[in-house]
Amino acid sequence: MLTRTALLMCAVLAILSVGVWHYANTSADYSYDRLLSSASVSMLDGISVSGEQINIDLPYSAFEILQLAPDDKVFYGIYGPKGRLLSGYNDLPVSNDDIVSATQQPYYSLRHYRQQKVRFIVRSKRLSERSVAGDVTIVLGQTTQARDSQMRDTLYTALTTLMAVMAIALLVMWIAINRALAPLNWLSDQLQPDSAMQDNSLPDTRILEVAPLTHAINNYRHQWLDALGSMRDFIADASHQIRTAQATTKAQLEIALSAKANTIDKASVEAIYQDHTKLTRLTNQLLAHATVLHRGDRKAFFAIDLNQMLKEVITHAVRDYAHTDVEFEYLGPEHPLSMYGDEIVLKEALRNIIDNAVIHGQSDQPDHLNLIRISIKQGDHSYEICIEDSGFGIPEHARAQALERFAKVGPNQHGSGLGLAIAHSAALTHEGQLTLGTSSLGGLQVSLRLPNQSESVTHYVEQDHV
Amino acid sequence: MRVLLTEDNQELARSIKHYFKDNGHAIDWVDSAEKAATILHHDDFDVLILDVNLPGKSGFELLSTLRSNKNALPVLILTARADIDDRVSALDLGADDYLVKPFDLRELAARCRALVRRERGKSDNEILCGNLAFNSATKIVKVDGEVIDMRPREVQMLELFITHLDRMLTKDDIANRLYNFDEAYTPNAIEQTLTRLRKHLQGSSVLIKTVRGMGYLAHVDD
Repeated sequence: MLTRTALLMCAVLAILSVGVWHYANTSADYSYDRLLSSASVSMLDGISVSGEQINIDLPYSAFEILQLAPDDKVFYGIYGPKGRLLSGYNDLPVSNDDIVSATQQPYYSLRHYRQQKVRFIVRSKRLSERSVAGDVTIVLGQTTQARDSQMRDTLYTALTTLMAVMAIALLVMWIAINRALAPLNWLSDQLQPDSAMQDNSLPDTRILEVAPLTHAINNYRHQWLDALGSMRDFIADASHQIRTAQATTKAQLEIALSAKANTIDKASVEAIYQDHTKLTRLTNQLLAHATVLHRGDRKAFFAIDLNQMLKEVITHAVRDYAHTDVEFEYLGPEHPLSMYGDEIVLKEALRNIIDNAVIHGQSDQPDHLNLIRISIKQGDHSYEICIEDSGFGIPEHARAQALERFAKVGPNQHGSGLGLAIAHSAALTHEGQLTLGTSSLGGLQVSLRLPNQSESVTHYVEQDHV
Repeated sequence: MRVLLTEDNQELARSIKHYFKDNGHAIDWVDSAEKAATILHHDDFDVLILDVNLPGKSGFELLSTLRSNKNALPVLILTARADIDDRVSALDLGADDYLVKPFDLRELAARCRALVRRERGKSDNEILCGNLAFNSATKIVKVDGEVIDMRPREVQMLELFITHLDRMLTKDDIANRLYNFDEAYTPNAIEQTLTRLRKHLQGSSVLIKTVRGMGYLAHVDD
């Protein structure tokens, strides 16, 4: 930051230097042009007409004035009416135009004369005697050593002052930046020895400006550690469940292979097939849960029509369970129900709740109607989707446990124990709620309450697209 | 039906081939999209089973080439990724159906049959739904080869269902297809026709499910 500021200041200094050079030049010209002007006036005063002659009596004062630049040389030429040289150098670099333009006011110019820079003034005086009438012009030149020296003095003094001011400004800035960044240095000193995996909070600080930052870092770190912890638990649970199921299948295969008979019993193969099907479902469910958790972190929400989405999910479920005696019922409005959400996550959740209802909705009662009722109600700021079945339900004391991963409650223990956990994660992703209750059909009622986040989460979508 | 299987996993391909042959279907197997494209160039198939992840050209590339060449061959995509984006891109590219690995061979065969049925329904008069055969020209319905005697309205309803398998039809959808403007009908009339149709279909592979609040869905359970 300081380097960039220093570079910027150098650029400013360069621009200012040009200005100072111009000022020094102008002021030197202004001072020494006055000398030239005064001397030329004095010299013109010494020109008079006597009879028919023009007399030139160069006054001593004119040379006294020019002596103020003691090292400089002076050249002059006096021209009578019609441009006739009366006295002085005859090769001065002055044209007739210069002489003509000097009739109104003195004319200054810088020329090269005899390998030197010379500043000239051209000044005229009108003679109106009877014998001599016309303009007498004096061209007075002076080399520029004195004025160049003054220009350099002014320039160097101004530049030295400027550089000193810049250096002081840089120093002040360096001190200010260091003081301002000191809390951040303190923060990085605190963070450096820690591993990102450590569950340490940053110590409280007395610097008021930094307190919100340490708080935010602590908060972020805890969220990250929580996510890491849940991922670790997930991997541990998943490994246990998959390996156990694999061990079962492998053991069954080994038994079948080690049997003395040359042919394998179809019942053994059937058992292996059933176990493998369970393993497949378990793997799919685990991957689905991982997807829900991952997408939950991303929060990629878009506008969806809940009514349409529910109808699609139900249509697929009806097709997949058409060969069973499960009946479906949908109680929903005719109009679209729009909200912002993650369609993939919600579809996965609903399908899992419905699958759960199909598996656990069976009853051993004769003439039992295996009905699954799906309904949606619109509240002020939320939607409530209910999936009810006519099975045994879940006793009240076991309901909280039923939402945990791999928890199997109720008489039917064939599920993977992940269906409701997936739905629960999906609800949390949408800042909603999943609750279990008793259905009027006699079985379990799963209620998924989703806040209508149409406006509050729009920024997530924008962030995601960026 | 004649099937072309494009799958690079030998064991899986061998099992699928074995299962389809056992069920009386002709099946050819290739392990790359390039080989599949060559075979499809000079041979006709009823359905293409296409894996997405193939060595060389991907299944999606083959599919888009087929569709850009106006080849309407029914394509069933096999994918190991359950992510919906994969399914959506498959359907967008012109796939007719998809299955996520691992799948039941029975399910794969049923889906292939459904695709072939749908395709043949467009050109042939004879539509086969498991053990039920329907001739759309003569309007004769047979279950296990036995002719079922049905009223015209029931036949119309059956035709509507078997041309819209696995899709939800509302009562209005059915009424619009079965009755013209001049005919008065009541929702009850539709239900009565449906009850009679269901009775006729007992023992057949065609199931008609009622979903209260949504409508009716026909499915072939073969």
